[in-house]
Amino acid sequence: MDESQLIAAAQNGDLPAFNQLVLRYQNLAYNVAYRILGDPDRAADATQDSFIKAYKALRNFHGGTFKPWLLRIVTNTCYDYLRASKRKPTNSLDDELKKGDYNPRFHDKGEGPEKYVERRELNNIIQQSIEQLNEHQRAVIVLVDIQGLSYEETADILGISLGTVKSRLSRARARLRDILQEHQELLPAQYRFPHRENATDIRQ
Amino acid sequence: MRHSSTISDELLSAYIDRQINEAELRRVEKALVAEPALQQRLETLQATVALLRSAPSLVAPRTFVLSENQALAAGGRVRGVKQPEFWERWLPRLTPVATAIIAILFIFSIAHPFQSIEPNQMADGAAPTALTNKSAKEAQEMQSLALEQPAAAPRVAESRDGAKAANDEKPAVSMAAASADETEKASEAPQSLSAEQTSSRPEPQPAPAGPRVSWTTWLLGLLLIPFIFLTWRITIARWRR
Repeated sequence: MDESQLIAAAQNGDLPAFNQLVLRYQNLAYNVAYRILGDPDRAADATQDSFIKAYKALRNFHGGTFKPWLLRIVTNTCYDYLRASKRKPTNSLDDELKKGDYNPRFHDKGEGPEKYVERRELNNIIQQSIEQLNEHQRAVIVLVDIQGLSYEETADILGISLGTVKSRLSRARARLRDILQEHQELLPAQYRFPHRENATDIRQ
Repeated sequence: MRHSSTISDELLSAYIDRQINEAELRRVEKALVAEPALQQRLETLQATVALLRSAPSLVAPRTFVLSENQALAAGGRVRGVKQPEFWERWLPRLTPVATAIIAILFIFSIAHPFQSIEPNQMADGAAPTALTNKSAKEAQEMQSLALEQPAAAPRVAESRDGAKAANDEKPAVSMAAASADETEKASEAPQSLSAEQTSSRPEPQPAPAGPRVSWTTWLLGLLLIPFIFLTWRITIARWRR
């Protein structure tokens, strides 16, 4: 069964067909939720809520691509979670790194323990840097740079214009660059920033 | 970040993704040749993007497939499963609210019993709660009229003890304050009201001792029992789910 057939079946109340779609997209949805929320448990709750909302709203889905439609529900649910929790101001990156209790599950690549630890540290640094951004910048950077979606898809998912995507993305990237530059000693060697001779020219 | 270049971070960011037009592309590339600092900015921005794109992909900690209960609870329909009736969906939501309302009314009815405005059920001196402003005003007029009656009292006093006549007038005052209908009748012909008429009225019933519980309170109390039971059953069922 291809995706459109699964969607049509699910719209007629075929729950197993919908669950096929869930299995296809659950990792993507969870990744987006985790990167926006920064908490594995809340990300799992938000993902589950998103699929429940998607099932309920499926009768309003009139063709098109399922992936951006689903991701719109996921990002909106994450926004709701962020607002509902009224999160405390995020701690500094140093404080977050000291915690070291983030333990998300990565795709098993059959790597050794050293590589695993390196990937886990890299993930922590990236995640904690993303959490320094506001919710709108987070969503754009997660969709474009981490999930690799196009500007058009991102604009469609977030319901904003292309120009807004560009401006939010550039601000988010610049902010992340500043944060990561301050902590680049924590980055794996291949990800360290190029040596800057004219730093004063850049940061005036 | 502030910088002296004419090329903004937004343009540089779009340049990395090639999301700019031809004119902007030429402008950026020209500036990159002329400004080493701009080249440095581009490299650090590109390194940031590369780092983000290398972020490890995560595995969902569990499966998110929906159960029939979740699908039905979300208001969706499931083929082969009977849709819950309207009352089945709404009863669990409305019952706790209805219970709370009935409980509040019940407590209120105990604290302030709903009083009947029938005159023969009124206690002496009890203020009728349902009197309108108009009837209250008329009742006041009746009171003043009744207080003027001692002028006609001597005729009655021939056959009665003066003190008893006075006692008979007091209930008449409270009766007038109690009944709106009677107040209207009395106000139509206040001059014809005589001491004989006043004294011929039935003796007011004394108020029963102890707290009075109206039929409304009983009704609310009876209603509260099944509602509490329903709320309890619904709560237990939710916990089990």
